[in-house]
Amino acid sequence: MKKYRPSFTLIEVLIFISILSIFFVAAAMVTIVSLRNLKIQEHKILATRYAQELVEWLRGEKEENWGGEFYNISNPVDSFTEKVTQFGSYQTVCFNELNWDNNPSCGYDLLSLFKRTATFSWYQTADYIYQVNLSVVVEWQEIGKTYKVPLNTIFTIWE
Amino acid sequence: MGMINKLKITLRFGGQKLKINFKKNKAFTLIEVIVVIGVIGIVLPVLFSIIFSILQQQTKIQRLSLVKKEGDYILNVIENVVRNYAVKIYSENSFINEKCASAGSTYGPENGNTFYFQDKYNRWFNFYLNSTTITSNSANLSSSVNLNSPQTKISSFSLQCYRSALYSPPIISINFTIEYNTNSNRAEEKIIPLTYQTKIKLKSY
Repeated sequence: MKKYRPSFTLIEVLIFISILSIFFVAAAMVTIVSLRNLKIQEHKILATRYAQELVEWLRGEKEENWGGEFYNISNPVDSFTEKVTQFGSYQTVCFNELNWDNNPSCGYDLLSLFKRTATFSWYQTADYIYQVNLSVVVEWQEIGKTYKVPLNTIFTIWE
Repeated sequence: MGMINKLKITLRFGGQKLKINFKKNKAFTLIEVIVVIGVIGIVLPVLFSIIFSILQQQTKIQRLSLVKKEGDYILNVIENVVRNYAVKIYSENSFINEKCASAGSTYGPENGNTFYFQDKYNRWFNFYLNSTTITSNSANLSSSVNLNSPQTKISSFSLQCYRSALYSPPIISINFTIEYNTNSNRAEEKIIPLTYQTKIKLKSY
């Protein structure tokens, strides 16, 4: 009679391997998710900076020349309020570059990842604009999801 | 076939039996060992590369947030101090040549050197690029103050003033680029330099 040396059965080996693989898959998923979150975190820091950058730049434009008049095609567009009112109220304006040349097809061009847009609205007494509300949104796409960093501020002549 | 697989020795001490079994020494075969080492060799590098990329990403975020924090701080300090305290601009701290005093005049020396602000108590203060840091000095300070830590590096800094009309205040434009101070050229470690720029009006002029 043939004698078998003591060994694991197939079932035992299968159970062990499946437990081990479940553990490994779970660990791998956790690390991949945390890596993804770290990446999103990095992009969020950058997006916040880009949103602040636009607000700082627009504040500079405002400080330089407030104006107060509305956009008029026959007048030179040189003041902040004229530049703002050349766009419609709550119209989405592309600000991937820090200039007033609104690009109608706003893509994810900023660092080939981010899209920076702004919308303006304003308050007036008679024909004089005394307040401009600004809403900046920097958005980017990551693994099929769109992430947004909004930033709102108010510009007034009184500051 | 002819090999002795088992060797049984039975010893008898009086009425007691002591059996000793000698079995053939069982061992892994070469193939088994190679397969195991191969599997370990595949799994371990994958594991370590994931851990390494997490560490790298964390370092990147830590550096980026440091750069952003210091950039925000510098802009904040310059903006507030200049806006609230600056009255006039001079090219030297003895107040000889006033700059941006007349309509349409601009002044913008490199790196903020020879750009002095005068406050309402006739004391001077300035901000200038000191190799890799933006440094502030004033008549009130016994020594200058670095606004950013040695961990970050300012790659460009400029202060400019502009005055459109005599009755309107001078406009100061602040512009600087801050990045992480590292000698490493590895692409994975690179932090994108952050640019800060804004313009402010002097409150009291």
